[in-house]
Amino acid sequence: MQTQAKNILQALLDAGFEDGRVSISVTDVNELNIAHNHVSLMRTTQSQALSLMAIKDQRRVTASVSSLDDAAVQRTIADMQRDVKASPQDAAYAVAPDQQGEFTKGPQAADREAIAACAKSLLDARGKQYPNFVIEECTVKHALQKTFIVTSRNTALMSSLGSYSMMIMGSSKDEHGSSSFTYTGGDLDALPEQPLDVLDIGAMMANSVQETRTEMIPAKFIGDVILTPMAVMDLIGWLTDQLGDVALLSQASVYQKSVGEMIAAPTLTLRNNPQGAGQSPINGEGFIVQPVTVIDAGRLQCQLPSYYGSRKLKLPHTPAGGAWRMDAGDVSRADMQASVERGALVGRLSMGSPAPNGDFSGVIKNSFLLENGQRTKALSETMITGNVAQMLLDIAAISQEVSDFGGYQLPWLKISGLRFS
Amino acid sequence: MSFVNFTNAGEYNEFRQHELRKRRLVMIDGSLMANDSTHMVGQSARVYQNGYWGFASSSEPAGADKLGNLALSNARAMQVFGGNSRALPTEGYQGEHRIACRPNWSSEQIIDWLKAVNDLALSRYDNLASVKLVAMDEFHDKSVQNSVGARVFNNISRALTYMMLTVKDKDDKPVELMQIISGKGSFGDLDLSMTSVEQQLDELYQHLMAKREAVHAKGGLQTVVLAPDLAGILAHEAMGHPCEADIVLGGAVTGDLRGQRIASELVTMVDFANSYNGEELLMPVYADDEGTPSRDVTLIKNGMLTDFMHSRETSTRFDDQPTGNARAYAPDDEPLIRMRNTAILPGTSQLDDMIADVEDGYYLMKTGNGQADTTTEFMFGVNLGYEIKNGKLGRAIKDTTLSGSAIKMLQSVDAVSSDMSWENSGYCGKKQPMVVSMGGPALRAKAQLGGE
Repeated sequence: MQTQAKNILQALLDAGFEDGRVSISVTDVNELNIAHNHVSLMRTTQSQALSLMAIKDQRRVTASVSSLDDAAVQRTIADMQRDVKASPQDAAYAVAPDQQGEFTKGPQAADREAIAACAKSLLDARGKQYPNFVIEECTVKHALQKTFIVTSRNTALMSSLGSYSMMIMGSSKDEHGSSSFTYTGGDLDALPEQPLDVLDIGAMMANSVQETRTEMIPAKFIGDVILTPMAVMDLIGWLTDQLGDVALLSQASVYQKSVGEMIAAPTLTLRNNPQGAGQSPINGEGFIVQPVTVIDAGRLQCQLPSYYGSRKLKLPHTPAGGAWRMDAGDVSRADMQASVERGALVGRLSMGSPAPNGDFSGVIKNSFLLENGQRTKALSETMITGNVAQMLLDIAAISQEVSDFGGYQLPWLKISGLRFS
Repeated sequence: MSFVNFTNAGEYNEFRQHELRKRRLVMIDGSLMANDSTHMVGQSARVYQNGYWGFASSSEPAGADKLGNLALSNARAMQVFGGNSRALPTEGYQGEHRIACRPNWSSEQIIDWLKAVNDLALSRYDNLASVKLVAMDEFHDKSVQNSVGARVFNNISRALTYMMLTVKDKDDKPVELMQIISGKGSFGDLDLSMTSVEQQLDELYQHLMAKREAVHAKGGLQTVVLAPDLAGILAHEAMGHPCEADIVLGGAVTGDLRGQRIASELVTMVDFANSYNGEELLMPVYADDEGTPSRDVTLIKNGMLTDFMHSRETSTRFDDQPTGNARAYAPDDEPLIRMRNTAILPGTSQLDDMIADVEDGYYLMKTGNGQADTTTEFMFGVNLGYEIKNGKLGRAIKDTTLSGSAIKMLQSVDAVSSDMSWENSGYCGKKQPMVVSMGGPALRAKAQLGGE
């Protein structure tokens, strides 16, 4: 395939493009599905994708096709020749230069017996320990993706990335009623013998079965939240969006000129996590992912533009990938909870995208009221309102415990000053 | 695409050939950030054997027999868990359905249009910080055949544009609003004339100027009037998902409520298969990706919870008629129960009167994304809304979230307008994305609003 990628790149250049990038990826997936506490479906999928980017006269065009046969490639290049003429000129368009490497990571072959054994173990453990939890949907899968990327600027990368992954979504039902749905999941280098011990699966079920009887808060108040790692992902998602191309190019990022400034509590350090299970060592633009510390002790170290965005805005380019880990703190989860006079332990935030300035209001799901340091009743129809940028600054504590979801490795966060309604 | 001969492996099997073409162009302040086209082709087979499904797909033309046998071996591999087969329904639809599109725009035409809209906005409005424009289209061609005689060709297509304007408020923080133009077919089917765009952007900019001075909504239970554009997402998120039979089997509270009153008698809600009032809808499904003929499903009738949406398998488990709701998004996806064209039906009130009767409340006009729950506790973001004070619209409110128990909210509905607004932008998310449409009139009800 590497030869084929090089041949297609040459075909792009022969067609009159000045620069080009060719990516071929082939993905094999073996996936077992559970529905409603029963194994339901086994999937085997094989797919390939050819992605092309080409530049001519400072005009850029991209295309993807699932066929690698010569006729399809020739048709695609001809379409690109036609479409590139309409693209506006932009000196920032460029292909990745001088990236070389071959990477093999993770399990390279699917062990279908291990997949079946993991599913059986999961179902058995659910049945014994949390019989009221209904697995509405669960996938246990192995994926192997082989990717070749070449560019006209001396880039040739090969990656063979294998990983297992699990995703579970479900809810609990008993004589009191139904709980909100909840979910967890992530990537693994090997399937576990005890699935409840990984990806916070056991904790998720343990909480869910206590959420069938809920209450609304009696009155509005201002209080603290303890965000579980799955809820912390929402914060990070908003932060990385603010540091990415769309927000930066449209001048809508609240961190447009904040590099070097304190944007979070001094206890917070956030790094990328390319070494995590299932995380590709190369990105789609054709760069090797580099280690990046985005926030160091609360101070913003860099933004996260693409290669195009960095050239357009004259910003440093830091190929970071899409996986993040937050350094552990110095407070245990138990002490963190004990320190909350009034607030909530938040399992999941259900909300629309925060406003560009960070304002948000969201429904807290799979959540429990905290009163005088004690976890009391499960909550329903409760919203919190605040500002995400301010929440990062208002982090009062970070837990010693960190949950590992493969790409994401995240602790619990205590944040003060949220409005409950 | 054409139908093929294939081996009848397993108790039931199906074979799908699926072609998906998409384009996505993004322009920010005149810079073209994305000019992408995607063309995916694939074949898949699914087999039901002894209570288990096996699925296999390939982006290469592997053939029905090879994929069918692989799918069968996948189904057989799960027999170690013990078998418990149920006979599936035997209806199979035969027919071809294509959306009659006008000629589509070339990428050059789309880029010219994006430039024209960008220039129009920058020249017309003084305080803009940014103009973000997105144009997307997608076309699905599917041939589905199965072992109970279905031979279906279905074509679904849509085109849409997002036009987002951003200004800065007095604290130099960004404030934005978006207008969407979307519809069935291709760009050639949309009204993208500059006259229409200018009118829509003028309205959007007026709202944006008001939102620049917006105040926080009052948090808690409020009287809200939902504009017709919001009723569709309420229908989809609040009661649509909890009436999908797989969600019901997963423990949704709706499982115990069929035949009971769950909404005001003013509320009737239907998942339409393909047509409403004699006109073809935005996501017409005549037969689903299991080859089942599609039927309208009345979810709520005059406030009573009535029926659920089904696949072949769930219809058997519930002893209901199959409804044709099993749909797959990509060539390597298996069919799941998905909504098609979900709507609350119009009533007899007038929107102006519904606002005039509110002493203290909110008029909510635009939404972002939403989410459903097994408990029917829904949420969706509100990007544009105004206070209602003594029957008149007041100040704009900052972005907020509408939430609550769908059952409580629908029971509180005391007025339904005679309007009907349909739209098909965005994706519904489940295990796979899906293109759907939703619609409804204006509603007045009580629900939780996020705020101070």
